[in-house]
Amino acid sequence: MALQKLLIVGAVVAIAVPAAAHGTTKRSSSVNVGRLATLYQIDQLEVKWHKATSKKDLALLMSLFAPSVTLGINGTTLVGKAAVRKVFAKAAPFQPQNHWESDTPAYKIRVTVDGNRGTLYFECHYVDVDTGKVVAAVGGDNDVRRINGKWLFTKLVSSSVTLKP
Amino acid sequence: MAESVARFDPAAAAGFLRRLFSRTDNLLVRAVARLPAKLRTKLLASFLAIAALLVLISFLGVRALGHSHSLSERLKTLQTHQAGYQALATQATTVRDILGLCAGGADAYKFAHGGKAPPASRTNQCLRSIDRVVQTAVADLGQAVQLNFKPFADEAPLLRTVKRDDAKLAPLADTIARSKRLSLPLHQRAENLSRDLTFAAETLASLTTRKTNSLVAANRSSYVSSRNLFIGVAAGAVVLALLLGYFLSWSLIGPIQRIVGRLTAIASGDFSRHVEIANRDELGDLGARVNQMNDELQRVYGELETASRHKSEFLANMSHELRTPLNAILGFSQVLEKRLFGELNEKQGEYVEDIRSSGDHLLSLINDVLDLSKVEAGQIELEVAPFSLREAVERGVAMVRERASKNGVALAAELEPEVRIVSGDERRIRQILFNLLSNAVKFTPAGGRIDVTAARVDGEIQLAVTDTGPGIAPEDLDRIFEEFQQTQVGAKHHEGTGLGLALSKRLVELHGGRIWVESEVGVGSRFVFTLPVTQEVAA
Repeated sequence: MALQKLLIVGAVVAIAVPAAAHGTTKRSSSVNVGRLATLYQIDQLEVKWHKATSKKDLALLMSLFAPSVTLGINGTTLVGKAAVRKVFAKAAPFQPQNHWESDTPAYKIRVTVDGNRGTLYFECHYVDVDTGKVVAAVGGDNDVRRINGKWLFTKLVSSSVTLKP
Repeated sequence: MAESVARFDPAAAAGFLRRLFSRTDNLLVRAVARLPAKLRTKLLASFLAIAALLVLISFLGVRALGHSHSLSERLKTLQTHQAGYQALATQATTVRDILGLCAGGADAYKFAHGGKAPPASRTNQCLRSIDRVVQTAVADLGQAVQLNFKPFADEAPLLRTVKRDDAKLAPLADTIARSKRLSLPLHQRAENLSRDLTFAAETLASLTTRKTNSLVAANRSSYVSSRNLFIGVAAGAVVLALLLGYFLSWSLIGPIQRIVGRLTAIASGDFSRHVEIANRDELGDLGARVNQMNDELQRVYGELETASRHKSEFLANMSHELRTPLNAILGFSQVLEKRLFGELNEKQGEYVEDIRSSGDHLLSLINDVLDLSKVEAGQIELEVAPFSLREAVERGVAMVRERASKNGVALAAELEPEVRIVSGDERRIRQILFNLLSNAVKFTPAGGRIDVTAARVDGEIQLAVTDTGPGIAPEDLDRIFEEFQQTQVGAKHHEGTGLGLALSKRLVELHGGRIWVESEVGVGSRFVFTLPVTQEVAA
């Protein structure tokens, strides 16, 4: 009887194991979906940037920077969140007398991703709502990094606005 | 409608599985047995099947190894590309960062200084401070662009962009450095080129990283898949080989066991059945031959039984017919010997005695033949009843005592106290005992000794007659219980019929006992027979 049971189990194994081996998991296109999700998350940095500058929300802007962020602008490179905050505290969009709002045309954004690192280039057009004119156009050529699951700016470099549709 | 739907019956399924793996009633074993092929072909096919499974496993293993090797090679290439593109991206970023320091011009200044316009010389000072640094960084970028590997097809367009931008950027950086007039448009153009180049380099690095990660994941998945497939096929192959061996072996062993069983039955005289062998191979032929032999033996056995019965009937009839005239011969010779009709001269007396002696011998022979025939014909019916074995032994001993003392042979009987009443045909048992004692007296020389013993051994009565006669040669031991067989010594004595021991053996066996002899030439013999003890007598 023991031999019979052994043979029955053996027959089941003989059929089931190769079938299970054949049906191994195959990774779907979830990799592409994940990449699109990452691109979206990085793009949100640009969206929040404009929200912060348009609403004069310096805290929101600073929340987009990594602790060791660097900023290169006007021939100077600043290191650390505190130094960068001082620059932005004096920046035109955050001054009470200025009523600037900013945005980036869709064709003026470039994003690359490489694992937990990436680049985010965007050109900001600042409009004075009082006059309705573009008062400044500044590009930002930036490095971003995912830190503790959140995408943050690690390096900001100003650039000329050159992209055209 | 609902009744017509077939329902799953667990008991039937279990029965089917049990039959599937039963040795005696197995569908697959029977199917293998019924294959119209020689045993050699079946064995060869099964060995080839197992070999094919091994080849399959080996093939899968080699294939998996080859695939893994191919992936490793590709991974190595990708890692080379990845390192090159990351170095390129880093260098391009450096150029971009340096150029970015003065980028934006007046707008950047306005942005950073609360909306105020910059002084006229501010931008020029900035530009002047980075000219030489930009030239050096662009030269380093030119080194990084010289990649020492061949790009993949999907990398080629981006790499062409990188090389094209670098080709434009290098002279532009030289121009900026050599120019005495500062020009923001030249810087902006360099900035654009460096940004494009950085983007292309970053994209290349990112693309290669993705491909590397994807390849590592594919390699891991391939390993798991290959491992599972290999284990599965190996396990399946082992189980299939075991099943194959099981079915094939039982398609051979089952028929052999049935044939052995039938041959055993035939050996014990049972010709009533045929062996059923479904095999269409040599075993099937063997089964058919065994059945043929069974039929033939049954026929011959029947004929032999008939012939034996006829012989026994003939002997019984003949013995009876011979005794009638012999009684007249013996009777009249005894009358003459006793001189009832007058005196005989010496010669006549001697001849009459010879006639009577020969008549006695002939009568004894005829009686033995008659008894033996009756036994063989199944005409003897034992008159079984309890009787005193001690008395039977004493009477048997008394019958030969005179002759023994005449021959100078000592005769003694010793029965254990518990041997008292036994159940059997007293007359036949006395006949057996008399035969054994007669032989002992006949062959024991003067000065010899004969002992009769009876004891209870292993639940049966054992009677033994031991003499110090010449003994029996080992080659005679097996045949002395056959009809008309005598030892060499017995034949020289010209006494006896050669039927006494054969008849004794038949009579003992009729009682359900056994008889045998232990003997050593020159020392003596010990004839032993047993009688089973019935319960009521034993009690």
